[in-house]
Amino acid sequence: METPSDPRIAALVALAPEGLRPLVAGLMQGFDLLEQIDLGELEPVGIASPTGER
Amino acid sequence: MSAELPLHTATELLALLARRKVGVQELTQAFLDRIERIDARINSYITVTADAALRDARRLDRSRGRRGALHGLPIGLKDLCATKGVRTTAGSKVLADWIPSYDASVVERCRAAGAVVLGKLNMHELAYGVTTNNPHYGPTRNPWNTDCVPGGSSGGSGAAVAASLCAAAIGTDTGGSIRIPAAACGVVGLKPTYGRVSRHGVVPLSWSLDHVGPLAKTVEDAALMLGVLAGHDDRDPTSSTRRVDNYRAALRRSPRGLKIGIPQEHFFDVISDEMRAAFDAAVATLKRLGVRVTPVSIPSLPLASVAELAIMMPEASAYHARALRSRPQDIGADVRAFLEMGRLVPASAMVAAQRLRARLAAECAAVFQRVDALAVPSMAVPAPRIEEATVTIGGVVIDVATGLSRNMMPFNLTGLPAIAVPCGRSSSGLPLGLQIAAAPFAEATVVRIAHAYEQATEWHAERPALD
Repeated sequence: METPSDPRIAALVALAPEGLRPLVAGLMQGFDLLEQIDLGELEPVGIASPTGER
Repeated sequence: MSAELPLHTATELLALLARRKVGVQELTQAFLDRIERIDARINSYITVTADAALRDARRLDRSRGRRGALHGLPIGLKDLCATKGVRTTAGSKVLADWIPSYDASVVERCRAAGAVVLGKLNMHELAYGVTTNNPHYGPTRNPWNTDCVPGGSSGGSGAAVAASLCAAAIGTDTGGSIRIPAAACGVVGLKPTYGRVSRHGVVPLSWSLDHVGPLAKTVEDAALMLGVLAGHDDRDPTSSTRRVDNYRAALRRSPRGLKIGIPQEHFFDVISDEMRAAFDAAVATLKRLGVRVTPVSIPSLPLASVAELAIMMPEASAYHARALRSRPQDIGADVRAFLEMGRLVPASAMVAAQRLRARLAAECAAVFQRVDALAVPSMAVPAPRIEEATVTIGGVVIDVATGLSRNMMPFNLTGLPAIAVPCGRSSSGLPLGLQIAAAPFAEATVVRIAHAYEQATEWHAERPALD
């Protein structure tokens, strides 16, 4: 497996047990990708009014 | 006759009980005897509550009042459902000595309907994994091949139903944990719509993704169980107030004329040849039943798994933060690693995932304007061997967790109801599964299609050779 260039990702991958390292490396790159998607003005699921009104 | 009783479906057993062809005590004892004889090879139970089960059975045999929908039916509970006076471990060492003072809502409902609880079923530690290779209570083994995993995290539930060690079981599903063991063990697993079944008293993995539902031998049994489990509960803040449909009545309706969509993205990118062939054969059967089949597009599907994990991992780490700080040595290596990593997922990624979740839900809603349900494969591959960390699919090596869960997660992220039903066997004799999903709260459509498919095939009638 290639060593991830992003030191943050490399640190997370190092935390994982051997068998899970490719999964973790892929995941961290996936999280990075998520933040790059253009989601326009879309608001997140799960944000409710703090007053409890819906 | 007693030794054969557990091999029946729940619906058949309830008919025998109603006609007084068998008593509750006799039936309960038959299951307990079978557990004693067979479960050393499967390890599906963490705790067997034989005395309490027989006590409940005697009480039910003596009762003369109105009979509940599950009167006398012996069931098993995944060991993260709180049970009053009975330890509830969630498959962990951390909770090994927890004896709740209350029953989870789903347990209350089952007991009120007359079910007899045989015990608490093994699971992947803290429901955080797909193999049920539990380091504290031992691995559960697949009844079709005891060298293989039963899937997870509700692996004990899937294995116990397949091995006829309970008539039906309760499981939970955060990233496929009902449908994966159902597919791996050749039984039916039904994940209802988010909010349809109360989560109160069920140890969480990820609040916004957790679902509770049944595993059973047939779709009819699963529909029967869901009818008991579903309904509003004030103690779960996400519980729906919508009316509960009559799921068993839906089974009597032909699926002729219904329209099923097959998503063109994600589900067929990584799939074994055997699973692809079984899925194509299942679609052909659905067409023969009069179902119309059409391709559909849900463009955000390829990002569903990573979005699911960006939400699940931090939520799980938040819930288990105290245990992770105070007793890390008591948590198994794989689960501990995921809990550690969940603390490091960027908050911005989690919010992006919640935004993507909204987009995916909107895309699905648009598709359900045109079709009644979706059909996709359950797992991409059959159950792997216990020691395997990776599976090879079409020459591509992927980790077991991804191989088993990638087709499941889109329906956790969207909260849509989805069922896994058996649809074939691999060349090594392991079960393969078909998945049917539908619009929010359209469980009646899901079971209607799945039941018609099941009745047109023989896969559900096969039992693993354990006797």
